[in-house]
Amino acid sequence: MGTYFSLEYMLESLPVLLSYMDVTILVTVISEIAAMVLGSAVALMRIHRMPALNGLCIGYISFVRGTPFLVQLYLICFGVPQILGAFGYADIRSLPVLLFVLMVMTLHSGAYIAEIMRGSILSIDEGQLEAACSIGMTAAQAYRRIVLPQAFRTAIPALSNEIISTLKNTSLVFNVGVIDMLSKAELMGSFSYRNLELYLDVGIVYIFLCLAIHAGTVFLEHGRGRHKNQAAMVTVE
Amino acid sequence: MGNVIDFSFALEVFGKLIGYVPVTLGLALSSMFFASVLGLAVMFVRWRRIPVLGQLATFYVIIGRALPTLIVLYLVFFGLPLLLLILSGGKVNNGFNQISPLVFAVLGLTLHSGAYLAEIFRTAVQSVNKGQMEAALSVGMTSWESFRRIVLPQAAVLALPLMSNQFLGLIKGTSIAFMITVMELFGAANVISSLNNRYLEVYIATAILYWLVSICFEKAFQMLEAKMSFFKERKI
Repeated sequence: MGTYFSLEYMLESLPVLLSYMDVTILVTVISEIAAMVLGSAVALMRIHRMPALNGLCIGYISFVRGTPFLVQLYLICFGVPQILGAFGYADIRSLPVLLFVLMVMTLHSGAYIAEIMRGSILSIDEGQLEAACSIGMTAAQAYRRIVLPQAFRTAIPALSNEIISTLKNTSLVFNVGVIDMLSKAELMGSFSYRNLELYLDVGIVYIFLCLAIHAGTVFLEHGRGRHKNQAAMVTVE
Repeated sequence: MGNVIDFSFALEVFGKLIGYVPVTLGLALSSMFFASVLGLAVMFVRWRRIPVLGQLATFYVIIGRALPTLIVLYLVFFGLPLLLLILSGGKVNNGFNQISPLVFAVLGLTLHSGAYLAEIFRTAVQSVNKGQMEAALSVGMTSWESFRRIVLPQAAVLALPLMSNQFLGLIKGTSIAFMITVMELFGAANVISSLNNRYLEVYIATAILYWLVSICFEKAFQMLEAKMSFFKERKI
């Protein structure tokens, strides 16, 4: 077995791969925060049926959910430079690829989060919004202070699924030239011809990242939060 | 604007790419079939709490859901030949290099979706009223019979929306198979775009094709769900 699979090599390359984990985490965190803002905005547009925007949002969500992430990634990373190139911005390659990747990830994740947030905002009792407005808050204030915090709380399990799937999608970004764990594994594999060990390493890191996110969600969900819906506890005498 | 999008080229590409839709669908359908079988088996093993297999199944579900599809595919694509090599005692020409990458792709996608489907089936079976199983046992069915005849059909209705979601995800997941040299829709798009050095048209055509396929299946599943809702437990 020794010549086919080297445990030693697997162990000694793990720290090297771990040092590239920051790209994965950076991309996940930034794009997820941006996607939550985008998703909430899109959800609100759809709930209030804003004239032209509603149709636009439906199209956007349907497109993102109907096409693979890879296609979207390639479409933006290779298509947008072609458009810009035609308009005379020739030095498009000087822009960092990471910027495009973040854009795609935000747009991709935003559509899924919009659907999640729409469901959870609708699940918040309408009386909450009315009560907030009746004491003189503007609609924006009412949403920001009263409705959205509760909606986010309800959406935690679904959002954590979405964050995990974004994390897993980051394994695809090396296709467009961002050096992350997997592309480092690929580079190292082309020197040592020991791809399996390296991919196992990356797999293990991903498993731990996923478990960490999962643990974080369980903590958030069951922890004592300010915005927990306490109706159920109050009614029981 | 003229040289941004070349419409005649886009149409030509569209025609070429349609030929690869069956490959994508074949990949998705066969993986879905095998993954359903796998998921059902894993769910059953966990449900009956079979000693060693049960723990293994739980482990598989956790790992399978935590790994990105690409890594599962890579592990299968690079790991399986190695395993075969070891099992065949180190003979280099044991024929594994003649195995089509399609087989590895189906295997990898099956392993990936199987874990998700096992969870979907588990929640579906758990949400069937316990009394149903007890009633079936009390009229003299064996536990396998009552599972197959009573619990499973009801669970299937509950699992259908989630399964359709999983299948739509799988259609999109097949695009990753190009990484292990399978020529499906996305792989073909890559080849065409780099041959012609035009990316925008090709990827727009690819996106539209995936979109159409997804919408068709979504509508089909909605119709199926409407039909199946007849079998749903009604609250009286």
